[in-house]
Amino acid sequence: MVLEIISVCLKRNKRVIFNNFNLKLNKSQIMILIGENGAGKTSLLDLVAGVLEPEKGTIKINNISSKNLNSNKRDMYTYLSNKDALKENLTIEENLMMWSKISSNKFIETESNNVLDYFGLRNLRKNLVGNLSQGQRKKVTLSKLLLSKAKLWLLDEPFNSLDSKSVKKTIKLIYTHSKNGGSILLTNHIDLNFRNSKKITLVNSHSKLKKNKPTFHKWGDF
Amino acid sequence: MSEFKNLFQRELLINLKNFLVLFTFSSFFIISIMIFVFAFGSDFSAIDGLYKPIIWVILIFSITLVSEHFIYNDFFDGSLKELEFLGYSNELIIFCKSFVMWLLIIFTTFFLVPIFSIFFNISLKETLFLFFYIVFATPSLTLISVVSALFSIQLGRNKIIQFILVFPFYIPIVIFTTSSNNIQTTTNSHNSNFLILIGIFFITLPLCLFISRLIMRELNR
Repeated sequence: MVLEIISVCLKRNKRVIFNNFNLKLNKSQIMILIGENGAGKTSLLDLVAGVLEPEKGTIKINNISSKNLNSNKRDMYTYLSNKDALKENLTIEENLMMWSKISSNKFIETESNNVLDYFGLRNLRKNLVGNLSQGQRKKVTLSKLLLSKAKLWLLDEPFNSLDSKSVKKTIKLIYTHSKNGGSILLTNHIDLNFRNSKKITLVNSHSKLKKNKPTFHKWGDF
Repeated sequence: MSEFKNLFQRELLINLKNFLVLFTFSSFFIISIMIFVFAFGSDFSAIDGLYKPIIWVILIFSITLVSEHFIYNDFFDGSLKELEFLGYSNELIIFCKSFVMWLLIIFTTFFLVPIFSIFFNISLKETLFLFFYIVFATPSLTLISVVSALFSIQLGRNKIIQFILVFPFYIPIVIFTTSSNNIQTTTNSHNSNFLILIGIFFITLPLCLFISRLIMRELNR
């Protein structure tokens, strides 16, 4: 089991986001979290990444409790959050080089051309990130996946701001990673047609509360 | 140790490339000096005993101004969160940021203090002591200003509340950096003040790191 979420409860701003939530992600599996805004998709990824702490429950990555991971986190997973974490005053190349360093991945100059070529960023490598469009910035962020050696990818809305060509390339990248034994947990607000993937729909607890239904509702075939 | 090295290199690269950090600090410092110089006019005897409080007020404000670049940018572009989920401890993140900020401040003041001493007609010996006071006092000031910047994010960028909350922590440092003005300035009295400032730093360091950790946790909620 690559990722296991066992009976997790999470409250944010006095609002119950997850109550007794369970999830299992196996090797080579692609799991998509779908849901409207505020349903808790990002919160779930933050929980797995250890940015948020659950009120109750356990999260295990490769059978190790996430609390005991510390600096090993970097080798276990790569998380691309909804904010790109790119520095506007640095070039694309410098941003990727810096990310490689802090995430314990290697940025080899000779291989960097292949990485930048994938999303067509080679000619822009010396450009400041501050001068790029939102779509180009997203491509720089996604290029981090090509540098990553981690088996588990946590991707928060990876297709936002991308053109259709880049969406296809990202999907291809995800499939290739899955074929190579990697696991992917990604969020999206639209139901993209992913083959061989498992989907979980998260429902906004606010809208459900008004109708006196359970605060959290989920379904999925995991 | 490699974690510290990675973070240190990251902070140094970002902030050396960000011309605004050094520019904001230097321009604020020089403009403030000019305001005081023009306000006092050519009567140097009037400002003879006042240069120390003046420089510390300017320093505190300029450090507070610079700390925004170190914390705000990282918070709003998601880098702070990224460092956390990459497994770097909150304490190490804050320590590295403060350390790089301190280095940049010292580097800049090395050039600014002589300008200040010319404007305020300060002797070479006094200028040297002033520089050493800055070297020993700025680590604590930097740490406090980083906490202050984190507070301001937590409080929704309310700078007045930020300053009120953090202001009392500046007082002991200001007292010991300016106290040599009131007593006979011998090398011994300077030495004891330096030791006190180092002592204050060792109290400030764990306190600020602990408070920063609490604020950063609160920010993620």
